[in-house]
Amino acid sequence: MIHTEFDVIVVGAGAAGAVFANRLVRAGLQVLLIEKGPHYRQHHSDFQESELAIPKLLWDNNGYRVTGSAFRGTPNLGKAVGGGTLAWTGIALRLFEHDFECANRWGEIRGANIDNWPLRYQDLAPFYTEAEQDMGVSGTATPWDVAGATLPPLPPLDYYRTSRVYQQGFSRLNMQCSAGRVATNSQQYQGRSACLHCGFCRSGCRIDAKYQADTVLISPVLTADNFSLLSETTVTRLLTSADGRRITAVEYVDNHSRQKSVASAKVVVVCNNPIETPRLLLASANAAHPAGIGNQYDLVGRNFFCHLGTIGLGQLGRDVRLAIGHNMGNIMSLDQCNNAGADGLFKGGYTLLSLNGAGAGVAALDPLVQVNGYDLKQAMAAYNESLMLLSFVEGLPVATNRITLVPAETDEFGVPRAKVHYDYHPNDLAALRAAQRKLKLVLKACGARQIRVSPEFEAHPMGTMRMGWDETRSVTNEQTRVHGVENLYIGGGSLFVTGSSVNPTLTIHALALRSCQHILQQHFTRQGDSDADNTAV
Amino acid sequence: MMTISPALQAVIDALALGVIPQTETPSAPALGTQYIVNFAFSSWPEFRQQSLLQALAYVDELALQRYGLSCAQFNQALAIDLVKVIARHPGLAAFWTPFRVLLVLGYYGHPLAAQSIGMPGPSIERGGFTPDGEPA
Repeated sequence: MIHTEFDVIVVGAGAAGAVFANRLVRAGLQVLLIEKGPHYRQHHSDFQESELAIPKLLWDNNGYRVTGSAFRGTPNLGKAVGGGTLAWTGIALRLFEHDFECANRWGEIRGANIDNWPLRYQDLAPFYTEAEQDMGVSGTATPWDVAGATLPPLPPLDYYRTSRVYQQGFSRLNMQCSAGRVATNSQQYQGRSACLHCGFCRSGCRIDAKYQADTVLISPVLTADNFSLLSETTVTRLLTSADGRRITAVEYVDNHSRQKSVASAKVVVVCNNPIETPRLLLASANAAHPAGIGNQYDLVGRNFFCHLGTIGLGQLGRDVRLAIGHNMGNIMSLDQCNNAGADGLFKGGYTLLSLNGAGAGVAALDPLVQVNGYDLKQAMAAYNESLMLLSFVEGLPVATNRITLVPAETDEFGVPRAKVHYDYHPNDLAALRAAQRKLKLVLKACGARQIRVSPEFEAHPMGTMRMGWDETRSVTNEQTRVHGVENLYIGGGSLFVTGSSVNPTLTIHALALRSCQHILQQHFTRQGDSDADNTAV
Repeated sequence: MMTISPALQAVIDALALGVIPQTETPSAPALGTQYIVNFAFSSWPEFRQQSLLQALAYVDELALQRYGLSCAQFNQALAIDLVKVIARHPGLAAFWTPFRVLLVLGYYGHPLAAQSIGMPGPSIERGGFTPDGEPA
């Protein structure tokens, strides 16, 4: 049993955890970062330009018990140092101003649990700018930007053949469109290559033209004396003081040797995904927290929600090289992201994002999900003569959609299995139908035929550790600290109060930067007090 | 440790053939891509393995009732017809959707199948492509 003391232990080395590690190490704190998945240090040789290389980067959802009809285990979370940023498609959009105050705008929606965020867009804006600089976001001013918003650091990526077709289609429908905001380099950036349009973003970018958190944030601090990284190591439990007000230690297990260890720190930051974070806190129940850490109001794990993804595919009958290019958002339209319900149909919104690249699996799985046999092969043979357009639809948080434990069943590390209960809210499905209609309309306006639109799939899991001012309605405060526990912070999509319809990673990064600032202020204040005490002595 | 019996393996093979049959390009079984199901199965917890085995057994029984043959005796035409039935069967949706995901990903991720529909294949060493889709 090893026991070491750190300033901060970060659990999970993904989109949020990498931010905490980078900023806290650079500030001089002693940091331990623990990641369940492997550390791919040589992207050029560790990653392959093949769709078969995607699954090894993804979190396996097969270990969960599932109830409800909406959670199908669609794999889009990461499992490695770098987390989901290894397999992500790089869409780096800011939430809109209106996304932070949905309760004010919408009022009560029966069956949903809508609340305002405990911060405004303006509070997060400087951290969005910093996140875009970290990632190297490419893009241009768009019609949907908040007035005065800073532009991303890189110019937009050139339009592909397919995007030029979409431009005409959007124009015919009097819809606005723009080059996407993508964390993929349109030109060399901070020593990383420009995109070579190989088509395999989701398999991990071999040349790091796409933002991958391990390269950008972990590698620069890897050799620092004040940093320790444990990969292929699973955190099994958080231990607290007798009064439950502080986390005193983190228990973890080496995935291979099964050696158990314990480490302690002044601050612990849990940055697992929105299923695994509540699972860890619930599994850490003790006398001070009999229902799980931070769960005194039975809120840990609740208000789970996702985006509903849907994909349209249509054939143009001419070669537009669909298989080439970065995978998502070469062109986008965000016109439909702010439906306040005035038309009586639904509240929330949906994005429209072009798809490109080696997405044969995507095409065959989603828009062609009901096509098999000879028809499937025929449709797939026309891949490069096709357009593929994606919509992410805003799903609403619902209190009964939640993560709980199955105490009678444990995994190989002895941690109780998680159960995911997820059903769509009627508003989700109304918004989905609108998005599916729009996908058809846009593809038709582009001249596509044989248009097929997929059923929904759940994407970007969020919620379960919601932020808020009121501890009876939220799990974490505006600084992402767990209510009632002085030194436990959360990072990641689990913090989201509502989810907008834009991809969440940039916001996850920005929230982590903001929390880092708070943790550092607290740390140096404590240190100053301690120094003053010592001086007095 | 649960295993997939030869009879149930024949169900997997038949369903793979029905989803992606032989044409001028290879079928899924011809490329061996159905074994991605076996690979996934080996990593699942027992309750997931159990539900797959039950579903496969149910499909084989359904085939016997409908065609008078078990899946091990199926030709391509029967396999295609069986897939039409299974894909519409409401009681099999929880089995069919993830099962088909594995088959389809395994097939179109295979270099031969990917090449047959114009997927680019590895290009980084050659400099990738221009934004217009031409080799760089």
